[in-house]
Amino acid sequence: MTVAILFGSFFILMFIGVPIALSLGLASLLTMFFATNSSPSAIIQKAFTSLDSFPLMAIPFFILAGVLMSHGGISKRLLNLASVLIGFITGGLAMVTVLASMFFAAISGSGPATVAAIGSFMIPSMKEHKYNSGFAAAITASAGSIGVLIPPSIPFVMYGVVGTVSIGSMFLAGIIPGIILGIALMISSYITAKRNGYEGTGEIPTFKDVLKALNEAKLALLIPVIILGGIYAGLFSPTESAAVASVYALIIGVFVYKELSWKSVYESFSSAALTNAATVIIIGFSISFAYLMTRERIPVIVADFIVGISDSPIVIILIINIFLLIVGMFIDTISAIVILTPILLPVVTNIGIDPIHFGVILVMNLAIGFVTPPLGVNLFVASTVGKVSFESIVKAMVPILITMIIALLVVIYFPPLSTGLPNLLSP
Amino acid sequence: MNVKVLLDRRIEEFILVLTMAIMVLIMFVQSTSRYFIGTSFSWGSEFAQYLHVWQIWIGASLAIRLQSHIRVDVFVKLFPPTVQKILNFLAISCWFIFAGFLAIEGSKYVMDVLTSGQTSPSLHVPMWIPYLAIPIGGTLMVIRLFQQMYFLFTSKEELYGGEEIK
Repeated sequence: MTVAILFGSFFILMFIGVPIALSLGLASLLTMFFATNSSPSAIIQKAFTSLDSFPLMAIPFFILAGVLMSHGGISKRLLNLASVLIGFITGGLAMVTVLASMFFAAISGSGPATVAAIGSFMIPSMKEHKYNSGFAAAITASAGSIGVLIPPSIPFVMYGVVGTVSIGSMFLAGIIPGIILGIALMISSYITAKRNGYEGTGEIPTFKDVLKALNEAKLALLIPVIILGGIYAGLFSPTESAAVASVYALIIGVFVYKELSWKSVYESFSSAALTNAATVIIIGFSISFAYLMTRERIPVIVADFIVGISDSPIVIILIINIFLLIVGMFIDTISAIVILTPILLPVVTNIGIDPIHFGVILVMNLAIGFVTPPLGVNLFVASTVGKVSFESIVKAMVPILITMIIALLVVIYFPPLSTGLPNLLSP
Repeated sequence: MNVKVLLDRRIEEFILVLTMAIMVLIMFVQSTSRYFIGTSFSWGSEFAQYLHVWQIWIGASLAIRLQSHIRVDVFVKLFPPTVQKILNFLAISCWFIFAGFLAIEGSKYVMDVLTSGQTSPSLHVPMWIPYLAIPIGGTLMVIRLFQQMYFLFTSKEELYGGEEIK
């Protein structure tokens, strides 16, 4: 009965268009009011204590750093570097898009931001060079989803906070799966390019060209060094490194590249704070929701159900993945992580899966959800910045999605790809 | 800039920018001072965290105005415009109830904390000050939802939709 009220009201509220955060809060309130005798002031208290968190502050700072960088002339320099490095290969522009998105992912924590920053240059450029416009937008959208795997990554911060897993370890764990996904997308674009005759520039770069492009992009490339180096050398916590990255991006954008005016700095601060509020307020109410779920033993029931279907970890993880892919199609990453982590994490740790490995699987599934119709956020962004019809993108997505799922399976069945780096480098 | 625009957007926006700037500055100074001077101040992160909480609640209210809360609208969009309007009305009403709960129950909670005399661990500020963000956030939401309701009924579609005020 309690469970029916909790989930029933949550789904109804979500479907009529109440924001996810408030749906979680109101569903918890109704459940507490009608089905339990706990005091609703617990919701207020949890809404405060869950947001009064030091690790959580990494999110506004990473969002801010990303916004400042995409307006501060950094994406242009990263694109130039990528095009010098691999622009000459068949399908060069598509490859450049993927590589530049990977660079950009290493300085920004958000997928849609990556798509907007890279796509506004690359989609028009690919169209000009006779690429199919659907493919151009589709590859940009997919490359943007690497942004959540390569650190820094806002979904990993969320997972770390909700599942009490080390954020530093999650950042390390995402690196290799992110690179694998990038390489898979490059292979897929190569095949498509070969078939359709999209040629590269043919200009094989000299050592001097590479040095010149590297030199121009060096200030941008220093950002991941500061963030990751700072965290793993023990100088900074993830939150502090995010603050340092914001200040660095501000200084470069305003004083060195001189592409940020103080007016756009003001706007960047305001839009980052607004995005942050709409994102993390979900955490504030999800904690009450998760508390009620645990009280009603939902994780145990789900675990029993899944183990009842099969006792093979391989089958179990497959079932969970199919479920996650479906969820990813409809719900955004942050909400999905916040709702699903408390349910699924106990289930998978029970069958012997490392929480770090599971975090990578979870985020990768949801990253694929970014580009799966009908609700792929990245697809909408790519469609808007590239002025390409949604239908033509969806058509071009089919081979790319198959590639991404193969990359996902590789990451699932070779856990050391995720857990290797954290085990090697964590103290 | 007239008074209406100032009230409707600029004040909250200014608070967001200011709190963000102070948070970044504190964390930046705290992390670099520990490295360069070898010392750091313990109250910095506590202060930044309380600012963050306030920023989230005020931002959540402005996010109603700018339609930037994360929600699933694909199901609503399946219906004809009239039904969509009814569903929007329902959604705003449910939200309204919850915001009212935050404002009222939050105030009661703040009063409890106030009488308990609890103070924060390193700054020793009375705890009701950070907690006050919740009832204030709830009240601001109530006001914003009234505004949304007004836009819905006066059919100011251009204001109700995702369009941003400049």
